[in-house]
Amino acid sequence: MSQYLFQQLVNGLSLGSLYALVAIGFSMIYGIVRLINFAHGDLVMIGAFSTLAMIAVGVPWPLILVFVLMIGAVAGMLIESVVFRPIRGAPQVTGFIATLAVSIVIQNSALLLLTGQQRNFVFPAFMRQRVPLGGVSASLTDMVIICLTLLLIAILFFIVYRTRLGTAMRATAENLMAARLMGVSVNRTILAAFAIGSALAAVAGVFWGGKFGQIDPLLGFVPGLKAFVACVIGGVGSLGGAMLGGYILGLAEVLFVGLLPQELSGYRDAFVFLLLIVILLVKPSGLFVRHVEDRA
Amino acid sequence: MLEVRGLDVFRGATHVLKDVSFNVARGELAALIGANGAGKSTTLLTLSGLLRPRSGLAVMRTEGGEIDLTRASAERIVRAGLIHCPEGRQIFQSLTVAENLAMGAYTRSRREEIAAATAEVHELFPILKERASLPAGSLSGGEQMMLAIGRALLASPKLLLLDEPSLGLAPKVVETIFDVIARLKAQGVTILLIEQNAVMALEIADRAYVMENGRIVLAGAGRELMDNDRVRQSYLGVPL
Amino acid sequence: MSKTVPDETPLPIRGFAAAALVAAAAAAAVWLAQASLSDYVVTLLAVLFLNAALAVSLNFTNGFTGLFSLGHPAFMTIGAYVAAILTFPERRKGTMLPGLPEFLATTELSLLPAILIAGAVAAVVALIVGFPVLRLRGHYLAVATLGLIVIIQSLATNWDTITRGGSGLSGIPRLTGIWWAFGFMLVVIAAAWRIKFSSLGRAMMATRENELAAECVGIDTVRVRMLAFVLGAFFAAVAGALLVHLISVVTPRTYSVLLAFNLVVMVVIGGSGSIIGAVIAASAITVLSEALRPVEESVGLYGMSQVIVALALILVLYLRPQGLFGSGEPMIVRRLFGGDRFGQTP
Repeated sequence: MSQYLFQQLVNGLSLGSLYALVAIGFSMIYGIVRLINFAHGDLVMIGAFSTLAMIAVGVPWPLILVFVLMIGAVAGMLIESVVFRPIRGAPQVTGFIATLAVSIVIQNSALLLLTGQQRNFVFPAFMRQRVPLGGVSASLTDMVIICLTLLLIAILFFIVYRTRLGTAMRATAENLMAARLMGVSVNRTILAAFAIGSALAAVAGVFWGGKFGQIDPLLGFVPGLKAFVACVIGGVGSLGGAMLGGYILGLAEVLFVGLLPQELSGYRDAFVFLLLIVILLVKPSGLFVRHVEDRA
Repeated sequence: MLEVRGLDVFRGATHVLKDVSFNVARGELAALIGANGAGKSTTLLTLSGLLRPRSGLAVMRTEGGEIDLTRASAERIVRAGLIHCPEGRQIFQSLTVAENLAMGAYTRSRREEIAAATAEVHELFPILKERASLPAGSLSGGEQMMLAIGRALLASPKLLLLDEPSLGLAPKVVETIFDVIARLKAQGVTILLIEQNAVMALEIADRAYVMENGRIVLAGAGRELMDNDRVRQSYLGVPL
Repeated sequence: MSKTVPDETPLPIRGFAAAALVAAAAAAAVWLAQASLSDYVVTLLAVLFLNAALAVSLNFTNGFTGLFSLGHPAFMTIGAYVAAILTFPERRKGTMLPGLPEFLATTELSLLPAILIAGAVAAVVALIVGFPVLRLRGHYLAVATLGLIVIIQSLATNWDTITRGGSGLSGIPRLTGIWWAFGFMLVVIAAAWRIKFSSLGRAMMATRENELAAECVGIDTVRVRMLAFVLGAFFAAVAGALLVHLISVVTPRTYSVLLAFNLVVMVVIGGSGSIIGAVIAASAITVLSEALRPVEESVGLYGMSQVIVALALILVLYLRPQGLFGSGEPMIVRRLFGGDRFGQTP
C-alpha cells in the first residue's frame, strides 16, 4: 500500500472515529426518547473548551480525558432534566424545537463567555510524531484517536449489551410502558442514556481539537449534523449502525477530498448532505437496519 | 389484599372508570370480565401506577405493609409485589428470551434467587429454556405469551394482574396458559384476571366482576355468575 | 362550530372591502412613519415587514401543513444571489464578476422582474429537493432542510465565477425601500389568508392533522406538501432578494441557520399556522432584538439577545406550547376579513 493511500485511510478512520463517537450518543438518545437532540453537537464544543481550560491549569492528560467524560455526562444530564424532561410526552416537533433552542443557548452563551475567536488547541508535542508501520507511517494523534475510540466503543457496547442498566435501556427504548411495568425507573434510564451519549460527544471534542488544532464556540454545529447523517446511513436508533455510519462517513469524506480535483474539495460538506438526501431517497431505513422504522 | 373504592379515571377528556369498587382477597383468583372498551385494561393500568385516578382509593396490603397504588410510583408498586402482565404481551422483541426474563427480575438483586426463579419458569415453560438466546421477536404468539407470563413470574408477584392472556392464541395454547394460571393459584399467588373468554375465566375464578361502560355492574362467585342470565346472554353467548 | 355564537352578527364592512381599508390605513401609517421618522427607524420597519413576511411564508410548511422545514435561509440565499446578479449594474459587472457567462454579464434588470425570477429559481430548486425530502417527517425533514442550508452555503462559497466566493457581493443597488417591504408583506399575508381559508388550506391542515385520513378523503397529500414547500420557498427567495437590495451586500453567511431558528421561534410563539400570530411575533422579536442591541454593545455581551430569544422560546414551549393563537386567527380579524374557524385547534 502506498504511503499516500495509507495516510488517507488513517485520516478517514480517525475522522470517522469522531463522527462515530458523536453519532452513537445521538442514536442512543434518539432510541430511548425518540428525540433528535440538536444540542448534541454542542457537547463536542463543551468537551473541547473544558479540555482547553484544564490544559491551562495543568491537569495531566489522562486525567483530562476522565474529567471530560464526567463533564460531558453532567452537562447531558443537566440538559435532560432541566429542559427535556418537562416537555416529555409533547409532540415530537416541540421536542425538536426545544433542542434547537438549547443549542442556540449553549452556542451563544459560549460566544458571550469566550468570544467568537478561534483558539489554538494543541496536543502534547510527542503526539505530533509519526509512527512507522511497516513501510508506511501514520500520525500518532490519528492512531491514538482511533484506538481510544475503539476502546470507548467497546466499553459502551459492554454496558449496553452486558449489564443490567444496558438491558433496561434497550428495553425502555423498545417499549417504554412494558419497561415501567418491570419496575424500571424510566427517568433514571433516560438520564443514563443522556449521560453516556453526552460523555462520548465531549470526548469527541477533545479529539476534534487535537485533530484540527483550532476550536471555536460554534464548532459543534457541523459534527452534530454529520452525526445525524451517520445515524441515517446506519439506521437511526441502532448503535452498531451509528458507529458504522460514522466510519463510512469519515472515509467517504476523505475519499471525496482525496480523489476528486482540488476545485471540488470546498464542496465537502455539501457532499455529505447530498449523500444524506440520496440515502434517504434510496434506502430511508439505513444501510444496516432491516425493518423500516416509523418516521411519522 | 387489594381494595379498590370509588375509582374515577379519565383518559384525556373521556371518563373511563366511574366509581369502580372491588376487592381481591389473598390467595384468590378474581376475574374481571366485560366487553371491549368497558374499562378493564384501564383498571389494571391504574393499579400498576401507569395511569392516575382523578379520585378514589386503591390499596394493596401484603405482609410487607400497605401501599397506596394511586400515589406510589410504578417502580415502587412493582417492588411491593404487584406485577402487571399487560395486554398484547408487550415483550421486548429485540431482546433475547433470557434478557426478557432478566428484565422481569429487574427489581430483584439476589442472584441465587433469580436463578432459582428462572429455573422454575423454565420448568413451567420448557420452550423458554430452549429458546433462551434467541430474540424474543422470533417466538410464536403462544411462546411470546408464555414469555410474558414467565417474565411476570420472575418479579415474584404477590398480586399478579393478567390482561387477556388468551387473546389471539390457539385453543391448545390457551389450555396450557390456563393450566399455568391454575398452578399459580395453587401455589398461593393472588391473581386478578381479565378475560374476554368469559367461560374459561369464570370456571377458574373464585370471584368475578362484570364491567360495563366503566362501571362494575355485577359481582359474585365465579360459578354463581355463570348461572346469571344477564352474564349468560351477554358474555357466554347463551340465548335466553 | 356552533351557529349561535354572537360573533356572527354582520359587521358593517367585511371581506375584501375591510382588507382594503385596513391595508390603506396601514399604508397611511407607513407613509407617516416614512415622512417623519429617521432613516434608521424606516429601515428597521422595512426589515420588520420582511421578517413578518418570512414568518408568514414559513407557515405554509411549518404551520398549515405540519412540515417542519428549516430551509428558508437556503431559499433566501438563492433568491438573494439570483436577484443581485440580475440587478447589478452592467458596467460594474466586469470588475466585480469577470467570470460571469455572457447572457448574465449583459443583463441588468429592474427589481420586480429580478425578484420574480429569483422566486421562480428557488421554487424550481424546492421542487427538485422536495421530491426526496418531503417524504420525510418531523425532524428528519428538519435535518434534511438544514443540510440544504449547508449545501447552498457551500455552493455560494465555492462557485466563485457566479458568487465571488466567501467575500460575497457588495454594492448591490439599494432598490428596496419600505414600500417594497410593506407591499410584499401585504401580498404574502393576503396569499396566506386566501390559501388558509380555501379548500387547499383545508387540505393542508388535514394533511397536518392526519395524513392517512386526509388521503382517505381524496387529498393528494404529496401534492399538497409539495405546494406548501414550493410556495414557502418562492416567498422566502423574494424576501431574501428584497432584503439584500436593502442592505446592499450578500455573503454565503448572510442567511444562516440562526435565521432559520429565529423564524421558527416567530412561528411557534405566534402559534403554528396563525398568520396574525406570526406577524405579531415577528414584529415583537424584531423590535426586541434591535432594542437589545445597544445594550449588548454597551456591556460587550454579544449574543445575549439570541440567548434571551431562545430562552423565551423554551418558556413558551413549557407554558403555552400552542403559541399566541394556536393555529387559528383572532376572532375580530376573522370577522373582518372572512374565514371560518377551521384550523383553530381547541
